[in-house]
Amino acid sequence: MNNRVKQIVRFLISLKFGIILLIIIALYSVIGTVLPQHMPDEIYLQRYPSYGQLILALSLNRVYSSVIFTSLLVLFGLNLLGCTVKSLRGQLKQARKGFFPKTALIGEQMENSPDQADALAYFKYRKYQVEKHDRGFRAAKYRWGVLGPAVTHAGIIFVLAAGIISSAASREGFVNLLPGQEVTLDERGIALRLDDFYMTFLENGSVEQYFSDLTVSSGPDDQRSETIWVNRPMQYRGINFYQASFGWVSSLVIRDAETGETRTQRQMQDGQDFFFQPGHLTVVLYGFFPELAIGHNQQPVSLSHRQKNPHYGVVLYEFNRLAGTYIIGPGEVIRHGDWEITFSHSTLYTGILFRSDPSYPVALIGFIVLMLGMLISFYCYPRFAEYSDGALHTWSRKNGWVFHRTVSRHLDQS
Amino acid sequence: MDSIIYFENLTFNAAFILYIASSLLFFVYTAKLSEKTGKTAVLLTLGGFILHTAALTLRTIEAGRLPFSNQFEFAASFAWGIVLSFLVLHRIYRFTAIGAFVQPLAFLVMGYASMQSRAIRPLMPALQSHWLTVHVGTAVLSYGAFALACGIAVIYLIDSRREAGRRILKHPEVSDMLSYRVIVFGFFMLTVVIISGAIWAQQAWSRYWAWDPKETWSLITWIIYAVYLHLRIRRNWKGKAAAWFAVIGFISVLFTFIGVNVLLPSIHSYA
Ligand code: HEM
Repeated sequence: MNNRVKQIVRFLISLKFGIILLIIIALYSVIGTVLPQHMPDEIYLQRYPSYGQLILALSLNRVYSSVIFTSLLVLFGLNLLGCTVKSLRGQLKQARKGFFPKTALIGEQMENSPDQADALAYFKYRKYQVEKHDRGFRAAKYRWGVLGPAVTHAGIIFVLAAGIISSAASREGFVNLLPGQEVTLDERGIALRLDDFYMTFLENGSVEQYFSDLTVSSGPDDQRSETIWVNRPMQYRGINFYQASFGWVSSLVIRDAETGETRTQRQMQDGQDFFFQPGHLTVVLYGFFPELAIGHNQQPVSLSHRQKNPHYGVVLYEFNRLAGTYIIGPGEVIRHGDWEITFSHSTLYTGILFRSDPSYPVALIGFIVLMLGMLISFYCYPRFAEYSDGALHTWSRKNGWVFHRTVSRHLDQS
Repeated sequence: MDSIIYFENLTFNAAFILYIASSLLFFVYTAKLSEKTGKTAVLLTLGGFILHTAALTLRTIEAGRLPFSNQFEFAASFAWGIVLSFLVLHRIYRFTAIGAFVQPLAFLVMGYASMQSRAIRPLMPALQSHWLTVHVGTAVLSYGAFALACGIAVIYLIDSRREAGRRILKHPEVSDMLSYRVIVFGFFMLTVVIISGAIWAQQAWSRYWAWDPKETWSLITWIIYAVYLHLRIRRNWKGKAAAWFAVIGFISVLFTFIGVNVLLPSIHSYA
């Protein structure tokens, strides 16, 4: 390698560049939390006339999935890897048994020189490796602790790798199901059936927990049933099933007022609308209120999800003009022209989210290694002491003052 | 039940008043350096801390769970963590003057808590998890340590400009080292906060990381302290640069805790 390239590589794996990258990553992340994300391009151009172009050019409208952000993370991962590998050889040398830093004698010296026997007893009691010489002794502990930062960094590299695996290989989907309904999920032919969905309530009527009884199968002799709730997903063949949401579906019936003949019958969720061609009517189910009450500014609200006082909020349009708003009970009839409109039979459906993410175990390993590395770095850092000609010196690169103080206090007391 | 609430409020308010009093006394102490004032300030802090602990215990009894699940409870626990960190450090090193720069933070967070609704609400489904306890329990310790380290870093920044005789703590190297050790503890705890949060999110929301604003801000805070630690590795970056990062780090902690809830939309908003 010529010198130029060497210089560049040296910079790319330097701590300085690592810190610069970390700061840029932090700033970029800040923008992602402040600027609304994932909106149509035009909105940015409208709202921020002077910066709109810049926002789009730097992908600030989708920070965390942008190529720029991913590249920063990859670059950071390589920097960290390079930086860690570079110092590993020196660290392994220092972790070896006989290692003793040349600098130990320039460490801090105890004010009152302790008795050699006391000092020796103290270090032996504290499980230091002690090595005598003709003018005194040397003591060392946690030499292997020098590897702490490398372990910490390895943990971070695992977590970054998990992020890459996740964005490449995770799969996710969502279905709304009524009790008894079954769907086939994907090309693997896994069938998901909702056997039942229910909630439990607290005294004040708020929901305590949502439960779904699920049956998942990929063939007649491979099926499993489990109850899931929020915080307790079900796992099947690498796919996790989550209790994600719920809502009401209500049954709309439109009849011919004269003959009583049913012209239309369909299931509607809250907020949905339906265009009834024969009457040029649009029926909007504004919402189902299981326990109706009238809130501030005269709006209908539901006190709970228990069906104690069920009502429907319905809005009708005829030829796109508002034709009426109604609050009706189950089965109660709205008569409009030749038509009778009713809502009834509301039942709960549930939203089930399913996701497979092979990166999770990798992230978990990363988490454990990371915490272990930090414990080593912070609490098992190498400590050295040398007793020579009546003077005791202590030395630790990271935490010299605290280490010295601890040793001094114990020896002064004894 | 009602009497428990009564005593909880009583002990909480009494603790709050003692914290205000001790903050003032600590300031008097740093100005006059009379040993007696310092001792009284520490005793008032300790008294406040005992009452504060009683208030949190009463609330735990009343709610049947640890006081970790809304803005009031968390702020009250956060202030408790700050005072705890100070008292532990004081017990080991006896640097009374640090109280003047930490106790006001405890009092401010306590004041923020007292502005929140104190109603005891049942846990919503997403919060019903043992990970909540680990997640918030470690957050209390971590944030408490960062507050303490911020106070010490401010002392360092002031002292590094003064001549030797007029310093708050005699040796700036010692304040530098102390804030480093305290941040080390806070940083390790913050790592546990983030990891437990990730594991919990995997269970509750299907993703261990989703770039939710609260998550992202805790990561930003974590990065700031990581930069702090690395600045110290090079001798010439120790001291002032690192002290500024300790202060910025704590501002980021406060923003993660308060700012995100008030200013940014988040699935964490209910907490
Ligand atoms: C978020 C990212 C990072 C974290 C959480 C992290 C974590 C750590 C920790 C905990 C230590 C021990 C520090 C101490 O005991 O005070 C450490 C040391 C170190 N880190 Fe990092 N690190 C990160 C990124 C980096 C990067 C990008 C580089 C270099 C390019 C780097 C280079 C070093 C070096 C040289 C040491 C000192 C090793 C020693 O003291 O022997 N780190 N790191």
